[in-house]
Amino acid sequence: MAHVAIVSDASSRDRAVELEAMETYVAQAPDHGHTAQIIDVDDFARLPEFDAAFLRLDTSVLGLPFAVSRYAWKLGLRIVDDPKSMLVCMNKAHIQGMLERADIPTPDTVLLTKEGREHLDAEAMFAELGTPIVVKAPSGAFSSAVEKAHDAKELRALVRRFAFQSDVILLQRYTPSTYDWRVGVLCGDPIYAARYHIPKGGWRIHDTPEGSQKKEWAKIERVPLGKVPYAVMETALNACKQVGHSLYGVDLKQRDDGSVVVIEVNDNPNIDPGGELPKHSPVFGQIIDKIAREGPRA
Amino acid sequence: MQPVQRLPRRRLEKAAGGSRKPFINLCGDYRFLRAGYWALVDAELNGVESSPSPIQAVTAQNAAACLLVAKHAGIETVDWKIARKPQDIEPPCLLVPIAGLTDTCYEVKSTRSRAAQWRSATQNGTRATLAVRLNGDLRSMRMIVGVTAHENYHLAWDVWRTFGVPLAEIWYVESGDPDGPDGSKPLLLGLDPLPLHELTERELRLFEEVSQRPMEA
Repeated sequence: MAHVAIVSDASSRDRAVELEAMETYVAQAPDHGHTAQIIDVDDFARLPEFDAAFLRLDTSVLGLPFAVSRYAWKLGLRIVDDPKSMLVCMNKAHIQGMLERADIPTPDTVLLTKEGREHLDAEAMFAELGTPIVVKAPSGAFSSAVEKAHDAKELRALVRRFAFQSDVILLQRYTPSTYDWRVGVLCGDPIYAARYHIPKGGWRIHDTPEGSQKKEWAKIERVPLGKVPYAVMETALNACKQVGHSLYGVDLKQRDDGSVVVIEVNDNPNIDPGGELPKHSPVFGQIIDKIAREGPRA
Repeated sequence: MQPVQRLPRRRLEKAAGGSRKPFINLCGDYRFLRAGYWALVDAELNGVESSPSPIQAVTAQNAAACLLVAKHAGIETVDWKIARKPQDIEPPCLLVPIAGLTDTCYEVKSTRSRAAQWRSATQNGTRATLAVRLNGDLRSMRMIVGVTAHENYHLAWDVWRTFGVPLAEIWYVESGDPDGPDGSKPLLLGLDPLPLHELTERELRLFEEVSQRPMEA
């Protein structure tokens, strides 16, 4: 039996579906012989009371969530997200390097360094990556700091803009699709899968649809794990294996020829009741059980 | 000059007859996503153990993580709490953004100014800030691979042992009366970058001397 802290903050509790998810974790934990309690991130001094901690708030490397994760790691708790996964997932260039070295397919990518930026040959980049080029700052989340450049002028402007955030910027071949696959993986096992249908006329999961002024989130279509194409599932699991043993949401695209590329590996993915999982799904309790028994720890 | 600079993509080669030697990053600025940090990521991707590791570097930068990990490692630290609202601040204290000491810090001397300083330090409540109790003088010393010319050499060594950061400016609060019966003691506040090019001639000589010794951290 384990006592699990669900670590939240005011913003995460204000999000109704997130609070519902947290309450479901607490309600279902006893089904597996555990207890779970929602605590505020400011109450990190209470962590020694627990055997495991599950962060359910926006992770930020230079904020309190990383400090809490690091502290829990030092204390020997099982911790999701563990600090190393946070560091890697908050840095798209780090993930890209890991995936490339493991020969896991990703869109063609150039990691543009500070020196490279100063001597950027935009035409050569378009010749190598095609048009448009996707420009990403390494630490953007929820489709922020991800833009498309259609010509050299746009590319230079975006590179200059993102240079304020990082010394390295990603330039990536654009992979068109109407939806992204999202596979949720915990401790090496898949826990859910979904198609994120991109707002019509947009290209990101959080984008402005045609004829609208307001950004919208992708519509979620749950897909039973058994119905996920083998290539998608295998690629997602292999990608997570490179990053760690924590909880990840892997974004993938399947190209017209059936091949699959990993777009991102996210820490702290949404697991919304009525979204990625059905309301009251027993998987919520299974997640707590898995963290309590197999979650990463020092 | 290459038209495009990329992070090197070297395959890990097995060193014949033994493991690879660790890499001591002397950049001095290991802040997340800055040049020194990228060198650590590159080392990790190529299977080379680095000092600091990426996780140590960010722990040293994140003010709250730094203090929590230091305390857990037995280093005496300042008293602090999260300043979620101005009323959490009890002067005299220092407001330190969690993002790191190099971001602006504010010394709060009276309750009259604390609301305005809290707004500045937290950017109107949008970023987390620590309220650190100032029960002594705020001081700093420069540490080079665990060594310092300063009298608080134990703290310098403990910081190197705990965080693996070879170059740093260590901030601390000198608490207690140095002439009193119990003397004074340094309480760790945080670490700031110390770029290699800012080392003095004397510090460079110190580094040369230290680099002759075997590394234990």
